[in-house]
Amino acid sequence: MKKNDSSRGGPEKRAATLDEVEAAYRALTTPQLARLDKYARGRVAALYLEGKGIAATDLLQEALTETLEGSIKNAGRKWYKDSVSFVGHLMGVMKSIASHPPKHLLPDHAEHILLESQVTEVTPDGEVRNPLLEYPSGSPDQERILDAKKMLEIVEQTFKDDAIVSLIIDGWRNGMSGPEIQEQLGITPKEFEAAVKRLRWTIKHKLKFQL
Amino acid sequence: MSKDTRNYREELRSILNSLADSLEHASDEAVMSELHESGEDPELRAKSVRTAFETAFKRFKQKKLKEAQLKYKSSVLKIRELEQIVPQTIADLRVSLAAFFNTQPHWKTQLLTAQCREFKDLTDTDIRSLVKQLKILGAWKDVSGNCTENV
Repeated sequence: MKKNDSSRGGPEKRAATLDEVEAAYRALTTPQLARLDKYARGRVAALYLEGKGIAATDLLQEALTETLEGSIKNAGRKWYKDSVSFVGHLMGVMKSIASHPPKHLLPDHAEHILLESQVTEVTPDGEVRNPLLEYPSGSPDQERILDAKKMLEIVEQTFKDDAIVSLIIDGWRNGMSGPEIQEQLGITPKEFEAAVKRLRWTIKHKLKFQL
Repeated sequence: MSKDTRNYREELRSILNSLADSLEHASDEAVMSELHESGEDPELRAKSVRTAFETAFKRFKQKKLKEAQLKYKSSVLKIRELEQIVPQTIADLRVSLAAFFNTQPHWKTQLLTAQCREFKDLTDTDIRSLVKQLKILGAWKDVSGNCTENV
């Protein structure tokens, strides 16, 4: 067996060096950086519902720091540049961090700070409304559950006549991936992307999530 | 009255996570056009991420520099500690080592056997090395009366 073969028989994956990671993050283009920003905000929005109020900037920085650590020692996250793009790698790291956020990213009482700004809604009449105030309760956890109910109702009401978006949401609820949903519904990637865009717009503008 | 068994929070969380996942395969053009359509400046968003990355990189380098400085300081202290055992002349050190071996012969057996040499055949380098090894092992004691500290 060749020395550089892995146990599976394929060539051993080489982790990027510190210089390569530095060069990669400095070379990110505007669309790539904007995509990473949107991705981080999306992950942070989902975390808010669990009462884990971390900032998108912190998530982005943690992902890069972990990758830098991984480039110099047997710790952090290694970027295997021959297997995945740098953007794809950072998204994967952010996803992983968001699923188990480290304590240092969780500031005390952060969820209470985010609560107001994330939930406040502007009605079509231009009236600013906070659904939480309609469901007074004692615990922040209870508030988030009622908050989620109200938000879902807004989403469902908005898309009650939009079959594609409604079916995409159903697919996600059932754990289906984007390509699986596209295949099931017989829609093109462009149609899927357009529907997701409508949904994201609603989440952002009606639910006031900073996506 | 039917009980509401839906897990609203989980449903909404799954939608938000799936929305984020959808960006993994989104084209640059789609991301840019979405931002333009919402009246946002992609360049501003990109700039804020660039700044965040630069800050993280700077912090990482500073942390590594601090770690390296601490390591360097610790190495310097160790070297200085070892240098303190070097006497003014190698002849003094040879006398000190001979005296040490006389009082603690088991060290002579262990160290010299390992080196396959007789004491009289030891070079100046061997003498220094042996004293340093004994110092590291915490066994060294100058029993000759020669001053082997702070030289």
